[in-house]
Amino acid sequence: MRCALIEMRRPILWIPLLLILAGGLAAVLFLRPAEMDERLAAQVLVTPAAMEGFTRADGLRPLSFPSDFGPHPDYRTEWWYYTGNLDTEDGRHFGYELTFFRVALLPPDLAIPRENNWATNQIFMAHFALTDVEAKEFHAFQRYARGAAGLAGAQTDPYLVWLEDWKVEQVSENEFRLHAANEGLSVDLQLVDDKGPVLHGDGGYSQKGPEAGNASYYYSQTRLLTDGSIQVGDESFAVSGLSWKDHEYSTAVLSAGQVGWDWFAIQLDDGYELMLYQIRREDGSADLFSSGSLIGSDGSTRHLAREEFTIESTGIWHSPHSDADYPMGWLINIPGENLQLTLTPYLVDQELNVTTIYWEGAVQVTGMHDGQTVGGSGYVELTGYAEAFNGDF
Amino acid sequence: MNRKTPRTPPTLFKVAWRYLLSHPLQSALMLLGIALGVAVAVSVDIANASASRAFDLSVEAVTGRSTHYISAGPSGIPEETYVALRRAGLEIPMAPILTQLISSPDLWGIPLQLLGIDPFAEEPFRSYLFSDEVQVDLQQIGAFYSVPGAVLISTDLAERYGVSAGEPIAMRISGRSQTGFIAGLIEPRDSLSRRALENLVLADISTVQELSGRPGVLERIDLILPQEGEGAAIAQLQDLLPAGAEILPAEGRSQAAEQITAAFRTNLTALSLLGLVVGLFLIYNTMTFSVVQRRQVFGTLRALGVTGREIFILVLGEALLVGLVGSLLGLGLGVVMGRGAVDQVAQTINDVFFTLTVREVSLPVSSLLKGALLGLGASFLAALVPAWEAAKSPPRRILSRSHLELISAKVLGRAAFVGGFMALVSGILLATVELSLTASFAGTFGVTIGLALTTPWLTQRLMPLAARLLGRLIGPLGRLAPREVAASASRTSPALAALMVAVAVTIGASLMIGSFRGSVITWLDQILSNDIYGSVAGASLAEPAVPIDAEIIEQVRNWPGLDTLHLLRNIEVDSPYGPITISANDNPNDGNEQLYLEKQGTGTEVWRAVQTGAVIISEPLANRLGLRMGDSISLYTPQGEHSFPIVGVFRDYTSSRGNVSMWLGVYRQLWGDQAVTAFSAGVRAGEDVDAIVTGMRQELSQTQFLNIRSNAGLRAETLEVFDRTFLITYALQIITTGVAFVGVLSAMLALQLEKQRQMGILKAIGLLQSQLWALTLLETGLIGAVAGLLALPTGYIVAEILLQLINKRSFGWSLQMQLQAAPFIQAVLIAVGAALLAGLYPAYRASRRSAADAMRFD
Repeated sequence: MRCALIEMRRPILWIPLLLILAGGLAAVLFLRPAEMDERLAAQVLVTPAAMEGFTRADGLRPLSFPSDFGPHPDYRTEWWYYTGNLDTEDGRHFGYELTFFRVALLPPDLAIPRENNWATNQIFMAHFALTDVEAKEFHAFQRYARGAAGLAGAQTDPYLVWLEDWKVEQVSENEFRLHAANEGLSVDLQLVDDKGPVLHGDGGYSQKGPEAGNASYYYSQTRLLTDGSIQVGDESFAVSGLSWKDHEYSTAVLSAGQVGWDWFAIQLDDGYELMLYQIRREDGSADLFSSGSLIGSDGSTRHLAREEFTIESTGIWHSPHSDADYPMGWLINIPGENLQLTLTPYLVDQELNVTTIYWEGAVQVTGMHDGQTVGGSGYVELTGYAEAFNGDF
Repeated sequence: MNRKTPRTPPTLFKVAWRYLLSHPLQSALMLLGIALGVAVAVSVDIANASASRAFDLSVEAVTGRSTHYISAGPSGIPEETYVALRRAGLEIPMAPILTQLISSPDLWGIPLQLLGIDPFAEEPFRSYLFSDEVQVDLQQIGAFYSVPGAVLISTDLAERYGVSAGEPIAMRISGRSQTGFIAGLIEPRDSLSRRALENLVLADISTVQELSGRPGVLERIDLILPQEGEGAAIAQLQDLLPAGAEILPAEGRSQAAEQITAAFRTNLTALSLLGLVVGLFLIYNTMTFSVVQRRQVFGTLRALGVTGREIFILVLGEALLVGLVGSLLGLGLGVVMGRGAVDQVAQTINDVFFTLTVREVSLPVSSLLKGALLGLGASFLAALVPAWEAAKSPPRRILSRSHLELISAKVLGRAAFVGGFMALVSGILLATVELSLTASFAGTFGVTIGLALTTPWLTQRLMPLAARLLGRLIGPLGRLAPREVAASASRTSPALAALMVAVAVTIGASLMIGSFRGSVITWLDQILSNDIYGSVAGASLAEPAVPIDAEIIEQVRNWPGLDTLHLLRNIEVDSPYGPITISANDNPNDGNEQLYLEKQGTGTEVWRAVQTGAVIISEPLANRLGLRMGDSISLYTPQGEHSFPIVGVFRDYTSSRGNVSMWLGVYRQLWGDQAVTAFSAGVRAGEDVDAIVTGMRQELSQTQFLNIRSNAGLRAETLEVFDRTFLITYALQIITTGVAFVGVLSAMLALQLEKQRQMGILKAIGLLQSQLWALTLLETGLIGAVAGLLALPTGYIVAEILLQLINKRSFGWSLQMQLQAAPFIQAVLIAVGAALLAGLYPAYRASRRSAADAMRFD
């Protein structure tokens, strides 16, 4: 299935991350594999291979909003993903990323009910990154917290996802407030959803691989009209622009053999949005499941199969931090839509040196759509270049 | 002629070497003296260093790198406070902490620190939790957060106690039995982590809240505040804190705790140095004798052209050689003894001060170096005078024996004068000036050594008296022996002085401990006015008081046969002066059950004031904080800082940190805490106390292990702890006496060797073998008796100094001298006994030699 792979972009990236985060003691406590007594084994042992006990994305389940904005704790992993390109009135450009990840430690039926406020089965991780194009600076931060005691979590009504003071909360039906701050950098934004949720795959359900149940539920808000302020040190900037939100939850997704991932989310100024991704296999080839989708200005979605588009990289950037070589600059061609785009990073160094190293950055877009000149901005995610992400599951 | 600087010819050293080899017994005694002295100093130093290191590690393990912490007193901080701080986006590293002392039968029942953490908040704080090798097992981490009772221990701990991951582990927490399981093992990153993780059990906050029965509560929030802008950060935090929560420097906590045992450790060091001082006399004694014995050799050497300087170097070199070998022996012995001492010191700290959860013996190089330097330095110092004497005498006169004695007689008088002056000045300083603890000890040493220096001179004055007395009693031998003692002052004086010091210190320490014990007994009699006492059985004696279940208190309240029940809440609260222990009780008669140092009005009046919000404070606290009756003391309550008027100061030996005694109703009102940590009950007349105690032990310990004790039982237990505390003191005393004994033995041996010719003559003129025995033993016995007698006043003075100055400065309590005959009698017996014992072998040797043989000796 074509749609299946859309959902894979983030799982592939994040499972190693989540694994480590799941550690909590993340890079931290070194635990020796335990010899478990059988009684405890039932409670404690959930081998990563066996996903039994978690709800599986195994068929069509109509998504409904606002209830599906909130968390789905019976699925193993889930994330809320915000990126955006913003400008000041005089044209100073900023890019930002604020992402919340959730991972369940134990399947619901093995979780032992406890009254304690701190006891939890849910761990959260968040990334906050800011690209200051004029200053040629990129900042990225990572935080962990348990999904308990009020430290981190997600809720439906009103919609709220947070980790400590980083949060996105619903203000009114289509209006959200986003806040993140770290080390003198902060973003405070008002997001208004222009198009409503866009369902990916088959009504939000998308098969990920050949195995049954390797699938997820996935939707996006591709055009969030954004206003607010960005603080950089002592300077405060009034900004406006567009944001993009992904929300996805699943239990088992990956197949073996995939090492990384190039993903593109583009917002064009003619009202279209485009998402494409390309999975790289261990042997360097592009995975068959690579695909994309094009959202029209009226909100209609068209799926793009592997053979309906080409992505050509125009350069290479060597990261001085991780020594990885990233493709940098792209030509995208979708003949069926008469769409040709050139993607140029606003800044080459937008590599996040967090627990798992990846590149996620704002890009400038120019090109032709149906014979008209078109511009825009977007976000590109490049994974598996600094270290291979072998899909363990 | 060789005009170069004369070099000491190597052959000369052979003279020294030969001498040492040909007098093996003497060399051995000299070595033993130094070795014992060094060993005592080293062992105590090791024990102190280990305790100190253990303490640092305990603190580091729990405090980590925090600069400050937020505390809200005994009831803890509501967890919502922490969450609110986290959600405020302050960007100040903070970590929630909840600790609990536990013991586990699966881990040999030793006290362990259960440390409740949030791993996500830990990284900046406790480095030992972090490993370079990242191998995280999802399932186990899952268990850490989600499964009740999940704990982590270090791989070392698991290995030591033979437990492994996944196994259930039985724990005793606040007297209750709980079961947890080992969710995983932590592989320490380095030796520092390894030691920090010793006896530490890690668990999630949720788990510790559940196990300790404190849901919703944090003990404290650790903070790392920036050095610059610390004030701003504090102000920021303060705005978000509820009333009663305080931001306190982390340093204060560890420093306070460090200071608690500092005095204890200084006391031990002083005691251990005493061993070396006694050893110093011994070396001096032996070296002097070796010089005297070889006066002919030196005379001959001088006559052959060896310079005085060379003789000086020779004697000093000899001393240094012996010092080196002795020190090395002492180091080895000290390390062995140190292991025993570590246990003793750790036990005392656990009994009296706080629970030390680290027990590793550390072997600091500095301790060994110090020991070696002490040994060498002492040998060098002790040999200076004999070496100088040997070197400066012209060849002709060195050959004559009488010359040396003549000088000695003059020297004795001078030494006595210097000693007396030294003792006097030290005494005056001690009595009039506020000295530090170390200076006080130096003063004590001054008095003791000063008096020791007067001993030989006094002995010479005493001997004619003894001659008259003994002559009347046992005839010529009785006259002969004292004169011999007086005449051989050059050999006997150092031994005499050493023995005197050792015995005096024994008297001083015994008197001090005895008086201390007496004071404690008087105090116990006064305060233990009820029949039955109950509290929760903790992981160690110094464990902070654990609340008793409310149901148990109800059970006790309804127990048949009781007519009174008083409740006590013991708790450590924060204050501007650091942590302070509060004892709040509801005994309306308590005002009359205290021993007061000062009070406003009668006991009843004092207690009436206490019931309306005043407090009485214990003597150590008053001394430590410089507070007196009429002042007031500030404590942090959940409602903020509160000032309490002080209406009395009472004697108390429960804690050298001191405590504040207040009315339970007042405490409950201010702290909002209903917990009870102990109860005391009076038994109705005619009821059998022991039967009730037995019944309570069976009935009440169903859910929580309680220590229920009768009045007599509690008394006995208190005194047992007291005695255990002074065990190491006794051990050090015995060793010091041992060093002195070796001193007397070597002096006697030397003396008898010296007098072989004289013995021969005595034998030749008809003295029986038994009479020779008697003469020798009489001489040594006399030395012992004189040392013992002179030690009596010295010991008394030492005891007074220990009681009035050292104890007060160290622990804050003043003690009343309670004179007992036993320590004095014991001391004289020890002195005479040691001296007689030391005389046995020389006497045996003297009696065995034939007259002709002995006379040929010269």
